[in-house]
Amino acid sequence: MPADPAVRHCKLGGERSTRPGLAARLGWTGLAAGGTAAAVLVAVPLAWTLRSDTPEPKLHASAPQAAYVAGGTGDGAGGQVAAPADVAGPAASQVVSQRPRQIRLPSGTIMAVRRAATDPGGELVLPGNINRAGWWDGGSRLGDPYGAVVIAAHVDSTQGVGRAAEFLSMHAGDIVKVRSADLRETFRVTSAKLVPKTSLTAGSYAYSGRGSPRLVLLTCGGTYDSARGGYQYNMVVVATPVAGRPSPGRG
Amino acid sequence: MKARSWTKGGLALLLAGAAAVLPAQGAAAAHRAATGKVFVIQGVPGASVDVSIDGKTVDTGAEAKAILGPMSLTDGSHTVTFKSSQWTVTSSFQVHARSSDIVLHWPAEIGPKPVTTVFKNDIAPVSAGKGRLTVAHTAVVPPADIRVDQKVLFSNIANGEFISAQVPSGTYSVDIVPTGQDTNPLLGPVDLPVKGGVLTRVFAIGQPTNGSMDAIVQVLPLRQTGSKAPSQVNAGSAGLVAVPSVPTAKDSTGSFAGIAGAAAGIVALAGLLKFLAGRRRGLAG
Repeated sequence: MPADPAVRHCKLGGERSTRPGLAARLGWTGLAAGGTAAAVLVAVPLAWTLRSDTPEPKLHASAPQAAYVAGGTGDGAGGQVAAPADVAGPAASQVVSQRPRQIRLPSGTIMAVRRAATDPGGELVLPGNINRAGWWDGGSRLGDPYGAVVIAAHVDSTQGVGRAAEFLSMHAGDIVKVRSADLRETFRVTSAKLVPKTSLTAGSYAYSGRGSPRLVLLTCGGTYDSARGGYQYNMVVVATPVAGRPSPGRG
Repeated sequence: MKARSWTKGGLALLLAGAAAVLPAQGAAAAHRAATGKVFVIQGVPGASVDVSIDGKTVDTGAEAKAILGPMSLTDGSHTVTFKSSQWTVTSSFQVHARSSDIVLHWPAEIGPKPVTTVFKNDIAPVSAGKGRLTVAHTAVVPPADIRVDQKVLFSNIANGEFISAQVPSGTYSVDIVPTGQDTNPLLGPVDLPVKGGVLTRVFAIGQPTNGSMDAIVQVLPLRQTGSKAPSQVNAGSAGLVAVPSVPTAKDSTGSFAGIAGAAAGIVALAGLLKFLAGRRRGLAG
């Protein structure tokens, strides 16, 4: 993940942080109680064997687990050989949704898409580079069956005019293509309009995880009043998938 | 590194070795050895099943739809045994420091005895207001489609397979139909509540021919990811693409020419700015 001012507020960094907590919950109580048994078996140089002496509410004894390792014959097995259980795989139609990484505007202009989070004040923090866009990390991902994939970008800044200025000239029927790491999807614009900034609230359908899958492009536009926060409007472009689901393809 | 060491099998082994040398610290080291959370699910309608793992009884007389556990098992190989009055099924399975379901169910065509399938639980976080819905096919039926409000959401899932998606919280009218068909549901429609912030696992079990089709619903908590919806998007600061006025919605509906004119103006302006931007880039280069 490149360093990007826009991801400072990102809360996704700890995606795997559930697991230490889980392990701790599962492990601590058992081990505290099983310390004695564990001490007896410490000479067995396999971590899992050591841990297998962890008493569980419903697994009372500890020794037979070692017996399984040795001979695979357990009390309940009735002398049968234990065939490995199948591990379920996803159906071929499974789409693993992913955050967008790139959009291609109707003119062919490409914008890289970074992750963007809303700051505590409620403002979406967009990439500082005006040629990049931000994907709101609380919204839908490419491949989700419902809701809005929200991508926003600066229309301008002291750097000049951004690539998102093209949003202002989009209209129904225009084609926008979106890619993630492994998926690509083509959208057709269904509406493109300027709305007063005050009317694009957090509860707006533009951000909703409900409803048909759609792409929502946001930028600023309309009248500009530096005394009243600059642009007075947001450009809201809504596009819907041309096909049912995204197709596989490297982004 | 230490905080994450429980995820590392190799390191766990190392820790076990250290425990052998230093018994006093053995328990502390073993805390960091990996365990997985395991549920055992009885998916055979009409059977009363004794369940044991690694030779230890987990439950006796478990009826269909029983969800046993969670049990924490160490990473590595374990054995589960299901015993009814008519059959005994013994299977080995691997635990990998995660959450998984060990499910006893019939295969697509009924055989002498049921089979065991391991379903790993995807416990990755979900966005606010959304839940993860995972549907597994563990019934005596050919590949099937899963529909929501009569529309195919998941297609062509075979026995022993699953499919998963993040969906907004709510109650879904779900039915399961043979793949490509839109009549004679194998199951449902049923109202399926999906809560935000949880994994809702549905196992379709049984066989339609004897009316034993049923669904097991398991709910596991998930963490939340992503930020809240923005209350403002300030996506411009220089006024470079400003227009003198924007027709209000009322004006727009009243005057098509007005909208078209404004749109054309914006298009022209954007084009001009792009041209200027290009020139600027050219000059800079």
